[in-house]
Amino acid sequence: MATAALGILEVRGMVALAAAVDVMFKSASVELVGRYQIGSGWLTMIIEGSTADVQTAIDAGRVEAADRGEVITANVVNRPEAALATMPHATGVGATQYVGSYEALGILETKGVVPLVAAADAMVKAGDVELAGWTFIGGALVHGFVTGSVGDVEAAIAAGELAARRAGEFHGALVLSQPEPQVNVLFPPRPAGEPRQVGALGVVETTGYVGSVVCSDAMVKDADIELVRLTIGSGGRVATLVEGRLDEVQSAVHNGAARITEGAELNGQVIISRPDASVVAAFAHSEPETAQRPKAAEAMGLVETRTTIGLVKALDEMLKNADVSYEGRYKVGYFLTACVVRGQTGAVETALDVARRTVSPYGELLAAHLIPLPYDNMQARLPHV
Amino acid sequence: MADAVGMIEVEGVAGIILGADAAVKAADVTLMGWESIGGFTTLFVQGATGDVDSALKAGTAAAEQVVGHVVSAAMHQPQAATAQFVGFPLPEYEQSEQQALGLLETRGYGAHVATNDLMIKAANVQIANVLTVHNRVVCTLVTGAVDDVEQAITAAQQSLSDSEWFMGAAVITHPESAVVAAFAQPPAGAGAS
Repeated sequence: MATAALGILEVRGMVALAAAVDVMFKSASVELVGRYQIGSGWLTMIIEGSTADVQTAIDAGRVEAADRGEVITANVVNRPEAALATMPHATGVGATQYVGSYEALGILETKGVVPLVAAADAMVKAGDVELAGWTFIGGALVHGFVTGSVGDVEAAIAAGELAARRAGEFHGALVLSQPEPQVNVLFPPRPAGEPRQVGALGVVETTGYVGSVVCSDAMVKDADIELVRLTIGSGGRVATLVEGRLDEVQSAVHNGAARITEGAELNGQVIISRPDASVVAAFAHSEPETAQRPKAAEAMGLVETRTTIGLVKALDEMLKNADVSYEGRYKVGYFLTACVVRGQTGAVETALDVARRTVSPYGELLAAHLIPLPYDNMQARLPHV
Repeated sequence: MADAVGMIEVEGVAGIILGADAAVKAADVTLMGWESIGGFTTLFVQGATGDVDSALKAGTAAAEQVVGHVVSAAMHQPQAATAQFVGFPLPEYEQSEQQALGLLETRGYGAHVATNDLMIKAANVQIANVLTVHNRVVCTLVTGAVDDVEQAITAAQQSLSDSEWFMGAAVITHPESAVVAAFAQPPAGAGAS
């Protein structure tokens, strides 16, 4: 049977989308047919049904989303062409659908991962709620989902908002009591790690890859901490998570943040003493070290630019004019791309000078940085190889 | 490795699709591939030095039809490591018989559902691909006879004329096979994040 109408709602942010989805399915008899996200926090849901139902649902969803955030597109297509089924959204609504039951759902959204970690810890400590997961949707927007009774979720979200505002930029929050089941397709992946007790968790968030490597290098050298995750982020931001004893984490975060210079902006930092075990499971699970890491004793040269041409030209000139070898690259996304060369300290210094001179006609140079003696435990985790 | 590698970088992806077609038509160069770093997208071609220079000139002029700012550069006798930068090498392809390729680029995905429906209703065209290249840029590629593609793109452009998210539209007649292979065949090379 041909579809009578398709409804399209595109919004910015998960809080706006979840509120709209709940209202759309409460207001009309429609089916969810697809979703798609394109970065920068822009999320699209596609529904189908009779023309009247789809129109009602989209109208209700648009009003709700506009109330909670930003609406990009709200549209109804009558008698849609079958060929639209070749578009990317038609692969469905995703596989992360939540299958448990809960009375209320809380969503908290921040800009950057630092305020979200702070909020998550405050949420699970403020009420009897479960941290169901968290994820990035681009444009540095991140969100976490909690479930529990209405009272607990409300208490958790209130405490989470306060903590997020204290640690960084709060974007939005929402409590849905007994939401429509279609909201379940919006759940982020479940926390990947095991719940653990740690003394303290530290998070430093910077713009760009080079900033995060420089910060990580300083942290492992200056304090007795363990690097648990590097380079998680979106919108050009990169967060580094460390754990250890509180005083060591404090020292690491302080020194790591202080070392971020040369254009690599410091976006935020937070230290959480005795984080809840579920927060550790959600954020601080170790990623496997990539096999065959070169444990190079050589110096590391890092170059980061805002255009690919700038980076490729810089690399080519570095290899031609200095005795360095190419090790790898890392695409941060959002107009940031980096590469790494290796060699003796003097050769890497020469190479970085060449890079500084080469990039400017082709775009902005974000950073050109030398690490003379990178530690193995940091090198083993770097994703550029 | 060829004598020279030429690169063209623009915001969005429509500009380098136009650039790729013009570059390959203008000189004896081969399309190596393309990649996106989020927002900016880069095209790589290779050939003899003189050919690469001509290709870049033609490619840059073509890209400027849809984007204001185009960066290009040639590398002579590039180092081997340079090849690693072509993020999305070309798939195997056959001679394309497409008469025309239409491009419609906006920020946002939702608008493409409605305008793609409109294009198919306005003319006999097929949706070849919907590319997303970070920073909210979405480009629909349609194929068909020249008149049909022109009609479809005009209709879509008119319906989006008031949209603050419209970026550009263009029609390529007799697109190069390599260009069709590189851009007009799903799955898309670059996902969004």
